[in-house]
Amino acid sequence: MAWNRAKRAVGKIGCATERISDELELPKNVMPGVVHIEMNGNKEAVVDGCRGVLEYDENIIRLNTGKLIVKFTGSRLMIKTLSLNQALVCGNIVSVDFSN
Amino acid sequence: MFIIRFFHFLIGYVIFKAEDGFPERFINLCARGGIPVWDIKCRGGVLFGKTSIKGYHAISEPAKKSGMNVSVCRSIGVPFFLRKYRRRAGLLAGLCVFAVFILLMSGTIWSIKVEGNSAVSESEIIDVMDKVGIKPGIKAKKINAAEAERRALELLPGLQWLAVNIEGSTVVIEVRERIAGEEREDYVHPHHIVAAQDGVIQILETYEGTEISKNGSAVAKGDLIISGITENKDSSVTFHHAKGYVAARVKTTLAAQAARERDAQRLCGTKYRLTLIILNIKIPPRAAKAAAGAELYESTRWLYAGDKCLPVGYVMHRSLFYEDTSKKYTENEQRLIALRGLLTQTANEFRRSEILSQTSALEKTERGMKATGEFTALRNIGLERPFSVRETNEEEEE
Repeated sequence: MAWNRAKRAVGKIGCATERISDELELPKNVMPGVVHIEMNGNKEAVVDGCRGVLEYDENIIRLNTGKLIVKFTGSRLMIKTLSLNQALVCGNIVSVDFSN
Repeated sequence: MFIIRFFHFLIGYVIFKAEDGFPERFINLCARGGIPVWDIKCRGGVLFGKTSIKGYHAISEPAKKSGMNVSVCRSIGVPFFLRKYRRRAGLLAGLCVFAVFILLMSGTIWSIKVEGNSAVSESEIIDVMDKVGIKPGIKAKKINAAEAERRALELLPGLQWLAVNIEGSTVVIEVRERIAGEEREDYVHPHHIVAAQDGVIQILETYEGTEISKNGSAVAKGDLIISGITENKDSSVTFHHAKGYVAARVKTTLAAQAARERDAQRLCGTKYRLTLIILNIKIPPRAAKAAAGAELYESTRWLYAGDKCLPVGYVMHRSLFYEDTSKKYTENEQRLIALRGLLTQTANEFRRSEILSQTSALEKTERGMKATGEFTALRNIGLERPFSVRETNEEEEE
Protein backbone atom coordinates (compact mmCIF):
# COMPACT_ATOMS: atom_id res chain seq x y z
CA MET A 1 0.00 0.00 0.00
CA ALA A 2 2.68 2.41 1.15
CA TRP A 3 4.90 1.20 -1.66
CA ASN A 4 2.21 2.00 -4.23
CA ARG A 5 1.73 5.43 -2.74
CA ALA A 6 5.45 6.13 -2.91
CA LYS A 7 5.55 4.86 -6.47
CA ARG A 8 2.71 7.15 -7.45
CA ALA A 9 4.43 10.12 -5.76
CA VAL A 10 7.66 9.47 -7.64
CA GLY A 11 5.64 9.14 -10.85
CA LYS A 12 3.99 12.49 -10.19
CA ILE A 13 7.37 14.14 -9.54
CA GLY A 14 8.64 12.63 -12.79
CA CYS A 15 5.65 14.01 -14.68
CA ALA A 16 6.16 17.42 -13.05
CA THR A 17 9.86 17.65 -14.06
CA GLU A 18 8.95 16.57 -17.58
CA ARG A 19 6.29 19.27 -17.78
CA ILE A 20 8.68 21.91 -16.42
CA SER A 21 11.35 20.96 -18.97
CA ASP A 22 8.73 21.12 -21.74
CA GLU A 23 7.54 24.55 -20.60
CA LEU A 24 11.07 25.93 -20.28
CA GLU A 25 12.13 24.25 -23.54
CA LEU A 26 15.14 22.67 -21.81
CA PRO A 27 16.98 19.79 -23.46
CA LYS A 28 15.74 16.46 -22.17
CA ASN A 29 19.13 15.13 -21.21
CA VAL A 30 19.71 17.80 -18.54
CA MET A 31 16.84 16.43 -16.50
CA PRO A 32 17.75 13.84 -13.86
CA GLY A 33 16.98 10.20 -14.55
CA VAL A 34 16.87 10.54 -18.34
CA VAL A 35 18.99 8.05 -20.25
CA HIS A 36 21.19 9.43 -23.01
CA ILE A 37 21.93 7.08 -25.90
CA GLU A 38 24.32 8.01 -28.66
CA MET A 39 24.65 5.77 -31.70
CA ASN A 40 27.36 5.67 -34.35
CA GLY A 41 25.71 3.91 -37.27
CA ASN A 42 24.63 0.46 -36.19
CA LYS A 43 28.05 -0.49 -34.89
CA GLU A 44 28.33 1.35 -31.61
CA ALA A 45 26.02 2.73 -28.95
CA VAL A 46 27.02 4.73 -25.91
CA VAL A 47 24.50 4.45 -23.10
CA ASP A 48 24.81 7.12 -20.41
CA GLY A 49 22.87 6.44 -17.25
CA CYS A 50 23.22 2.66 -17.42
CA ARG A 51 22.63 1.12 -14.02
CA GLY A 52 23.37 -2.49 -14.79
CA VAL A 53 23.26 -5.37 -17.22
CA LEU A 54 20.09 -7.45 -17.16
CA GLU A 55 20.85 -9.84 -19.99
CA TYR A 56 24.04 -10.44 -21.81
CA ASP A 57 24.37 -12.62 -24.85
CA GLU A 58 25.99 -12.61 -28.25
CA ASN A 59 22.70 -11.52 -29.81
CA ILE A 60 20.89 -9.65 -27.04
CA ILE A 61 22.05 -7.11 -24.50
CA ARG A 62 19.51 -5.66 -22.07
CA LEU A 63 20.54 -2.69 -19.98
CA ASN A 64 18.80 -1.20 -16.98
CA THR A 65 18.67 2.58 -17.15
CA GLY A 66 16.34 3.23 -14.23
CA LYS A 67 12.95 4.10 -15.76
CA LEU A 68 13.55 2.20 -18.96
CA ILE A 69 15.05 -1.05 -20.05
CA VAL A 70 16.99 -0.74 -23.28
CA LYS A 71 17.31 -3.87 -25.36
CA PHE A 72 19.88 -4.16 -28.15
CA THR A 73 19.44 -7.01 -30.56
CA GLY A 74 21.87 -7.96 -33.31
CA SER A 75 24.86 -10.19 -33.82
CA ARG A 76 28.38 -10.35 -32.32
CA LEU A 77 27.34 -7.88 -29.64
CA MET A 78 29.78 -7.01 -26.89
CA ILE A 79 30.22 -4.52 -24.11
CA LYS A 80 33.38 -2.66 -24.95
CA THR A 81 33.59 -0.80 -21.67
CA LEU A 82 31.40 -0.74 -18.61
CA SER A 83 31.58 1.69 -15.73
CA LEU A 84 29.18 2.66 -12.98
CA ASN A 85 26.85 4.69 -15.21
CA GLN A 86 28.03 4.20 -18.74
CA ALA A 87 28.19 1.28 -21.16
CA LEU A 88 29.58 1.08 -24.67
CA VAL A 89 27.84 -1.56 -26.76
CA CYS A 90 29.55 -2.67 -29.99
CA GLY A 91 28.65 -5.12 -32.74
CA ASN A 92 26.04 -5.33 -35.49
CA ILE A 93 23.04 -3.68 -33.87
CA VAL A 94 19.81 -4.59 -35.65
CA SER A 95 17.26 -3.02 -33.32
CA VAL A 96 16.91 -1.05 -30.09
CA ASP A 97 13.80 -1.61 -27.99
CA PHE A 98 12.61 0.27 -24.94
CA SER A 99 10.35 -1.08 -22.24
CA ASN A 100 9.32 0.02 -18.76
CA MET B 1 42.44 4.15 -29.55
CA PHE B 2 46.04 3.19 -30.21
CA ILE B 3 47.16 5.30 -27.25
CA ILE B 4 44.75 3.46 -24.94
CA ARG B 5 45.92 0.08 -26.22
CA PHE B 6 49.54 1.12 -25.86
CA PHE B 7 48.87 2.33 -22.32
CA HIS B 8 47.21 -0.99 -21.49
CA PHE B 9 50.22 -2.78 -22.94
CA LEU B 10 52.55 -0.69 -20.80
CA ILE B 11 50.75 -1.35 -17.54
CA GLY B 12 49.86 -4.93 -18.51
CA TYR B 13 46.48 -6.65 -18.72
CA VAL B 14 44.90 -10.09 -18.46
CA ILE B 15 42.49 -11.75 -20.89
CA PHE B 16 40.20 -13.91 -18.79
CA LYS B 17 37.50 -16.44 -19.39
CA ALA B 18 34.45 -16.81 -17.10
CA GLU B 19 32.09 -19.79 -17.36
CA ASP B 20 29.01 -21.08 -15.59
CA GLY B 21 27.00 -18.94 -13.15
CA PHE B 22 25.38 -15.63 -14.00
CA PRO B 23 27.41 -13.48 -16.37
CA GLU B 24 25.13 -10.42 -16.04
CA ARG B 25 25.50 -10.40 -12.26
CA PHE B 26 29.23 -10.85 -12.62
CA ILE B 27 29.48 -7.83 -14.97
CA ASN B 28 27.32 -5.69 -12.69
CA LEU B 29 29.36 -6.61 -9.62
CA CYS B 30 32.58 -5.78 -11.46
CA ALA B 31 31.20 -2.38 -12.51
CA ARG B 32 29.93 -1.66 -9.02
CA GLY B 33 33.21 -2.75 -7.46
CA GLY B 34 35.20 -0.41 -9.72
CA ILE B 35 37.05 -3.25 -11.39
CA PRO B 36 38.09 -2.13 -14.87
CA VAL B 37 36.72 -4.68 -17.34
CA TRP B 38 36.62 -4.06 -21.05
CA ASP B 39 36.09 -5.88 -24.37
CA ILE B 40 33.53 -8.15 -22.74
CA LYS B 41 32.34 -10.80 -25.22
CA CYS B 42 29.90 -13.59 -24.67
CA ARG B 43 30.57 -16.44 -27.06
CA GLY B 44 28.74 -19.75 -26.67
CA GLY B 45 27.80 -19.06 -23.08
CA VAL B 46 31.39 -18.26 -22.12
CA LEU B 47 32.34 -14.74 -21.13
CA PHE B 48 35.64 -13.33 -22.35
CA GLY B 49 37.00 -10.04 -21.15
CA LYS B 50 40.07 -8.02 -20.34
CA THR B 51 41.09 -6.52 -17.03
CA SER B 52 44.12 -4.92 -15.43
CA ILE B 53 46.53 -6.88 -13.21
CA LYS B 54 45.08 -5.25 -10.12
CA GLY B 55 41.58 -5.86 -11.45
CA TYR B 56 42.27 -9.56 -11.93
CA HIS B 57 43.27 -9.89 -8.28
CA ALA B 58 39.98 -8.26 -7.25
CA ILE B 59 37.82 -10.20 -9.71
CA SER B 60 37.60 -13.36 -7.58
CA GLU B 61 35.00 -11.86 -5.26
CA PRO B 62 32.43 -10.94 -7.96
CA ALA B 63 33.14 -14.32 -9.58
CA LYS B 64 32.43 -16.12 -6.34
CA LYS B 65 29.20 -14.15 -5.74
CA SER B 66 27.94 -14.77 -9.29
CA GLY B 67 29.02 -18.40 -9.33
CA MET B 68 31.45 -17.99 -12.25
CA ASN B 69 34.70 -19.84 -12.73
CA VAL B 70 37.32 -17.38 -13.89
CA SER B 71 40.54 -18.47 -15.55
CA VAL B 72 43.36 -16.65 -17.35
CA CYS B 73 43.57 -17.01 -21.12
CA ARG B 74 46.58 -14.77 -21.73
CA SER B 75 48.71 -12.23 -19.87
CA ILE B 76 49.88 -9.39 -22.07
CA GLY B 77 52.07 -6.35 -21.40
CA VAL B 78 55.43 -5.10 -20.30
CA PRO B 79 55.24 -6.28 -16.65
CA PHE B 80 54.69 -9.90 -17.80
CA PHE B 81 57.50 -9.60 -20.34
CA LEU B 82 59.91 -8.30 -17.70
CA ARG B 83 58.77 -10.95 -15.25
CA LYS B 84 59.52 -13.62 -17.82
CA TYR B 85 63.10 -12.46 -18.13
CA ARG B 86 63.65 -11.36 -14.52
CA ARG B 87 66.19 -14.08 -13.84
CA ARG B 88 68.25 -13.24 -16.91
CA ALA B 89 70.48 -10.48 -15.49
CA GLY B 90 72.74 -10.61 -18.55
CA LEU B 91 69.88 -9.61 -20.80
CA LEU B 92 69.03 -6.65 -18.61
CA ALA B 93 72.69 -5.64 -18.40
CA GLY B 94 72.94 -5.89 -22.19
CA LEU B 95 69.84 -3.76 -22.56
CA CYS B 96 71.31 -1.12 -20.22
CA VAL B 97 74.67 -1.17 -22.03
CA PHE B 98 72.88 -0.83 -25.36
CA ALA B 99 70.82 2.11 -24.07
CA VAL B 100 73.94 3.86 -22.72
CA PHE B 101 75.79 3.13 -25.96
CA ILE B 102 72.99 4.62 -28.06
CA LEU B 103 72.81 7.62 -25.73
CA LEU B 104 76.54 8.30 -26.00
CA MET B 105 76.81 7.63 -29.71
CA SER B 106 73.84 9.78 -30.66
CA GLY B 107 75.56 12.82 -29.16
CA THR B 108 78.62 12.34 -31.33
CA ILE B 109 79.21 13.52 -34.88
CA TRP B 110 79.89 10.61 -37.22
CA SER B 111 79.66 12.08 -40.68
CA ILE B 112 80.03 15.39 -42.47
CA LYS B 113 77.95 16.14 -45.54
CA VAL B 114 78.58 19.07 -47.88
CA GLU B 115 75.79 20.57 -49.97
CA GLY B 116 75.76 23.28 -52.62
CA ASN B 117 79.38 23.12 -53.80
CA SER B 118 80.64 22.61 -57.35
CA ALA B 119 83.90 24.51 -57.89
CA VAL B 120 85.23 24.10 -54.36
CA SER B 121 85.73 20.40 -53.73
CA GLU B 122 84.08 18.52 -50.88
CA SER B 123 87.42 17.27 -49.58
CA GLU B 124 88.74 20.84 -49.45
CA ILE B 125 85.74 21.96 -47.40
CA ILE B 126 86.00 18.92 -45.10
CA ASP B 127 89.72 19.60 -44.56
CA VAL B 128 88.94 23.18 -43.55
CA MET B 129 86.12 22.02 -41.25
CA ASP B 130 88.66 19.68 -39.65
CA LYS B 131 90.92 22.68 -39.02
CA VAL B 132 88.10 24.65 -37.41
CA GLY B 133 87.29 21.71 -35.15
CA ILE B 134 84.41 19.96 -36.90
CA LYS B 135 85.39 16.38 -37.61
CA PRO B 136 83.91 12.93 -37.08
CA GLY B 137 84.16 11.77 -33.50
CA ILE B 138 83.62 15.08 -31.71
CA LYS B 139 80.68 15.77 -29.42
CA ALA B 140 77.85 17.70 -31.03
CA LYS B 141 77.56 19.88 -27.92
CA LYS B 142 81.13 21.12 -28.32
CA ILE B 143 80.51 22.58 -31.78
CA ASN B 144 80.32 26.33 -31.91
CA ALA B 145 78.61 26.66 -35.27
CA ALA B 146 78.82 30.45 -35.59
CA GLU B 147 82.54 30.54 -34.82
CA ALA B 148 83.24 27.58 -37.13
CA GLU B 149 81.32 29.27 -39.96
CA ARG B 150 83.29 32.50 -39.53
CA ARG B 151 86.68 30.78 -39.47
CA ALA B 152 85.83 28.43 -42.34
CA LEU B 153 84.76 31.35 -44.55
CA GLU B 154 88.09 33.05 -43.88
CA LEU B 155 89.94 29.91 -44.96
CA LEU B 156 87.77 29.28 -48.04
CA PRO B 157 87.90 32.36 -50.26
CA GLY B 158 85.91 30.55 -52.97
CA LEU B 159 82.83 30.55 -50.76
CA GLN B 160 80.44 33.39 -50.29
CA TRP B 161 78.32 31.87 -47.52
CA LEU B 162 78.56 28.81 -45.32
CA ALA B 163 76.24 27.33 -42.70
CA VAL B 164 76.89 24.52 -40.23
CA ASN B 165 73.76 22.52 -39.42
CA ILE B 166 73.78 19.65 -36.95
CA GLU B 167 71.26 16.96 -37.88
CA GLY B 168 71.51 14.13 -35.37
CA SER B 169 74.94 12.62 -35.79
CA THR B 170 75.59 14.34 -39.11
CA VAL B 171 76.94 17.81 -39.72
CA VAL B 172 75.52 19.27 -42.91
CA ILE B 173 77.69 22.01 -44.35
CA GLU B 174 75.59 24.16 -46.64
CA VAL B 175 77.61 26.43 -48.91
CA ARG B 176 77.11 29.07 -51.61
CA GLU B 177 80.04 29.64 -53.90
CA ARG B 178 81.36 32.96 -55.07
CA ILE B 179 80.66 33.54 -58.76
CA ALA B 180 83.91 33.92 -60.73
CA GLY B 181 84.72 37.56 -61.43
CA GLU B 182 82.14 38.75 -58.96
CA GLU B 183 83.69 41.63 -57.09
CA ARG B 184 82.24 44.33 -54.99
CA GLU B 185 81.87 47.50 -56.99
CA ASP B 186 84.13 50.30 -55.96
CA TYR B 187 82.02 53.41 -55.56
CA VAL B 188 84.64 55.31 -53.59
CA HIS B 189 87.32 55.78 -56.25
CA PRO B 190 86.46 57.35 -59.63
CA HIS B 191 86.88 55.22 -62.74
CA HIS B 192 87.22 55.75 -66.51
CA ILE B 193 86.07 53.23 -69.07
CA VAL B 194 88.85 52.46 -71.55
CA ALA B 195 89.13 50.06 -74.50
CA ALA B 196 90.29 46.60 -73.52
CA GLN B 197 91.40 45.90 -77.12
CA ASP B 198 91.51 47.45 -80.58
CA GLY B 199 88.21 47.69 -82.43
CA VAL B 200 85.48 49.78 -84.02
CA ILE B 201 82.69 50.85 -81.67
CA GLN B 202 79.27 49.59 -82.76
CA ILE B 203 77.15 50.22 -79.67
CA LEU B 204 77.95 52.85 -77.05
CA GLU B 205 75.63 53.42 -74.12
CA THR B 206 76.74 55.78 -71.38
CA TYR B 207 75.02 55.45 -68.03
CA GLU B 208 77.32 57.63 -65.99
CA GLY B 209 80.28 59.85 -66.97
CA THR B 210 81.22 61.79 -70.11
CA GLU B 211 81.24 60.10 -73.50
CA ILE B 212 84.61 60.65 -75.23
CA SER B 213 84.42 58.28 -78.23
CA LYS B 214 81.49 58.05 -80.60
CA ASN B 215 79.62 55.27 -82.31
CA GLY B 216 81.57 54.06 -85.36
CA SER B 217 84.92 55.45 -84.17
CA ALA B 218 87.99 53.21 -84.09
CA VAL B 219 89.74 52.79 -80.75
CA ALA B 220 93.07 51.29 -79.81
CA LYS B 221 93.70 49.33 -76.67
CA GLY B 222 93.79 51.69 -73.67
CA ASP B 223 91.93 54.56 -75.39
CA LEU B 224 89.52 56.49 -73.20
CA ILE B 225 85.87 55.80 -74.15
CA ILE B 226 83.82 57.12 -71.20
CA SER B 227 85.46 59.54 -68.84
CA GLY B 228 84.78 59.58 -65.13
CA ILE B 229 85.28 63.36 -65.06
CA THR B 230 82.29 65.59 -65.81
CA GLU B 231 82.73 69.31 -66.27
CA ASN B 232 79.91 71.34 -64.79
CA LYS B 233 78.50 74.62 -66.11
CA ASP B 234 80.32 76.61 -63.42
CA SER B 235 83.67 75.13 -64.66
CA SER B 236 83.94 72.86 -61.63
CA VAL B 237 84.41 69.12 -62.16
CA THR B 238 82.70 66.06 -60.69
CA PHE B 239 84.37 62.69 -60.46
CA HIS B 240 82.29 59.57 -61.17
CA HIS B 241 82.57 55.87 -61.36
CA ALA B 242 81.96 55.84 -65.13
CA LYS B 243 79.42 53.31 -66.26
CA GLY B 244 78.42 52.22 -69.71
CA TYR B 245 78.27 49.50 -72.34
CA VAL B 246 80.75 49.51 -75.20
CA ALA B 247 80.34 46.85 -77.87
CA ALA B 248 82.93 46.98 -80.62
CA ARG B 249 83.77 44.97 -83.70
CA VAL B 250 87.12 43.37 -82.95
CA LYS B 251 89.45 41.11 -84.89
CA THR B 252 91.09 38.22 -83.10
CA THR B 253 93.44 35.54 -84.31
CA LEU B 254 93.69 32.24 -82.45
CA ALA B 255 96.08 29.37 -83.09
CA ALA B 256 96.43 25.85 -81.75
CA GLN B 257 99.40 23.57 -82.28
CA ALA B 258 99.47 19.76 -82.36
CA ALA B 259 102.88 18.11 -81.99
CA ARG B 260 103.89 14.98 -83.97
CA GLU B 261 105.12 13.33 -80.84
CA ARG B 262 104.67 13.92 -77.19
CA ASP B 263 105.90 12.50 -73.91
CA ALA B 264 103.34 10.28 -72.26
CA GLN B 265 102.96 8.02 -69.29
CA ARG B 266 101.69 4.49 -69.56
CA LEU B 267 99.89 2.75 -66.72
CA CYS B 268 101.95 -0.28 -65.81
CA GLY B 269 100.51 -1.35 -62.48
CA THR B 270 97.85 -0.75 -59.86
CA LYS B 271 97.93 -1.56 -56.18
CA TYR B 272 94.92 -1.48 -53.88
CA ARG B 273 94.78 -1.09 -50.14
CA LEU B 274 91.67 -1.03 -47.97
CA THR B 275 91.24 0.78 -44.66
CA LEU B 276 88.14 0.12 -42.60
CA ILE B 277 86.56 2.96 -40.61
CA ILE B 278 84.44 1.99 -37.63
CA LEU B 279 83.34 4.78 -35.29
CA ASN B 280 86.09 7.00 -36.67
CA ILE B 281 88.73 4.38 -35.86
CA LYS B 282 90.82 3.36 -38.86
CA ILE B 283 91.88 -0.24 -39.27
CA PRO B 284 94.84 -0.49 -39.92
CA PRO B 285 95.60 2.82 -38.20
CA ARG B 286 98.71 3.89 -40.17
CA ALA B 287 98.03 6.22 -43.08
CA ALA B 288 98.66 5.01 -46.63
CA LYS B 289 101.66 6.57 -48.37
CA ALA B 290 102.27 6.79 -52.08
CA ALA B 291 105.02 4.45 -53.26
CA ALA B 292 107.92 5.92 -55.22
CA GLY B 293 106.85 6.76 -58.76
CA ALA B 294 103.20 6.10 -58.03
CA GLU B 295 100.18 8.32 -57.75
CA LEU B 296 97.87 7.70 -54.82
CA TYR B 297 94.11 8.10 -55.08
CA GLU B 298 91.72 7.68 -52.19
CA SER B 299 87.99 7.21 -52.23
CA THR B 300 85.86 6.93 -49.10
CA ARG B 301 82.54 5.10 -49.00
CA TRP B 302 80.13 5.12 -46.07
CA LEU B 303 77.46 2.63 -45.14
CA TYR B 304 73.93 4.00 -45.33
CA ALA B 305 70.76 2.89 -43.58
CA GLY B 306 68.10 4.43 -45.80
CA ASP B 307 69.31 8.00 -46.19
CA LYS B 308 71.18 8.02 -42.85
CA CYS B 309 74.93 7.79 -43.01
CA LEU B 310 76.36 5.29 -40.52
CA PRO B 311 79.77 5.67 -38.86
CA VAL B 312 81.00 2.61 -40.73
CA GLY B 313 82.84 2.76 -44.03
CA TYR B 314 86.06 2.13 -45.87
CA VAL B 315 88.78 4.01 -47.69
CA MET B 316 90.08 2.52 -50.90
CA HIS B 317 93.69 3.58 -51.55
CA ARG B 318 94.65 3.08 -55.18
CA SER B 319 98.30 3.46 -56.18
CA LEU B 320 98.84 3.84 -59.91
CA PHE B 321 102.31 3.14 -61.33
CA TYR B 322 103.30 4.79 -64.59
CA GLU B 323 106.25 4.45 -66.91
CA ASP B 324 107.50 7.18 -69.22
CA THR B 325 106.98 6.66 -72.91
CA SER B 326 106.42 8.73 -76.02
CA LYS B 327 103.41 8.80 -78.23
CA LYS B 328 103.49 9.46 -81.96
CA TYR B 329 100.43 10.87 -83.68
CA THR B 330 99.31 10.21 -87.21
CA GLU B 331 98.56 13.16 -89.46
CA ASN B 332 94.84 12.68 -88.98
CA GLU B 333 95.24 12.65 -85.18
CA GLN B 334 97.38 15.79 -85.34
CA ARG B 335 94.68 17.52 -87.38
CA LEU B 336 92.01 16.53 -84.88
CA ILE B 337 94.08 17.64 -81.88
CA ALA B 338 94.85 21.01 -83.50
CA LEU B 339 91.19 21.57 -84.39
CA ARG B 340 90.05 20.56 -80.95
CA GLY B 341 92.54 23.02 -79.43
CA LEU B 342 91.26 25.80 -81.68
CA LEU B 343 87.67 24.96 -80.83
CA THR B 344 88.38 25.06 -77.09
CA GLN B 345 90.16 28.39 -77.41
CA THR B 346 87.29 29.81 -79.48
CA ALA B 347 84.72 28.70 -76.93
CA ASN B 348 86.70 30.29 -74.08
CA GLU B 349 87.52 33.49 -75.95
CA PHE B 350 84.05 34.25 -77.35
CA ARG B 351 81.92 33.00 -74.48
CA ARG B 352 80.30 36.43 -74.06
CA SER B 353 80.69 37.69 -77.62
CA GLU B 354 78.92 37.34 -80.90
CA ILE B 355 81.05 36.02 -83.77
CA LEU B 356 80.26 37.97 -86.94
CA SER B 357 82.61 36.17 -89.34
CA GLN B 358 85.40 33.61 -89.17
CA THR B 359 87.98 31.83 -91.29
CA SER B 360 90.10 28.89 -90.24
CA ALA B 361 93.09 27.16 -91.80
CA LEU B 362 95.25 24.11 -91.13
CA GLU B 363 98.92 24.10 -92.00
CA LYS B 364 101.78 21.70 -91.56
CA THR B 365 104.70 22.98 -89.57
CA GLU B 366 108.08 21.52 -88.64
CA ARG B 367 106.76 20.35 -85.27
CA GLY B 368 103.41 19.05 -86.47
CA MET B 369 100.07 20.66 -87.39
CA LYS B 370 98.83 24.17 -86.70
CA ALA B 371 95.20 25.33 -86.81
CA THR B 372 94.65 29.08 -87.17
CA GLY B 373 91.38 30.94 -86.93
CA GLU B 374 90.64 34.59 -87.67
CA PHE B 375 87.52 35.97 -86.11
CA THR B 376 85.56 39.17 -86.32
CA ALA B 377 83.30 39.48 -83.31
CA LEU B 378 81.11 41.90 -81.48
CA ARG B 379 82.18 42.14 -77.87
CA ASN B 380 82.12 44.37 -74.85
CA ILE B 381 85.52 46.06 -74.74
CA GLY B 382 84.75 48.49 -71.92
CA LEU B 383 87.25 48.14 -69.11
CA GLU B 384 86.97 50.06 -65.87
CA ARG B 385 90.20 51.78 -64.91
CA PRO B 386 90.52 53.75 -61.68
CA PHE B 387 92.23 57.10 -61.58
CA SER B 388 93.47 59.04 -58.61
CA VAL B 389 92.35 62.48 -57.61
CA ARG B 390 94.37 64.69 -55.36
CA GLU B 391 92.83 67.61 -53.54
CA THR B 392 94.84 70.86 -53.85
CA ASN B 393 94.19 74.28 -52.37
CA GLU B 394 94.29 77.51 -54.41
CA GLU B 395 97.65 78.68 -53.06
CA GLU B 396 99.26 75.44 -54.13
CA GLU B 397 97.78 75.88 -57.61
CA GLU B 398 99.30 79.33 -57.97
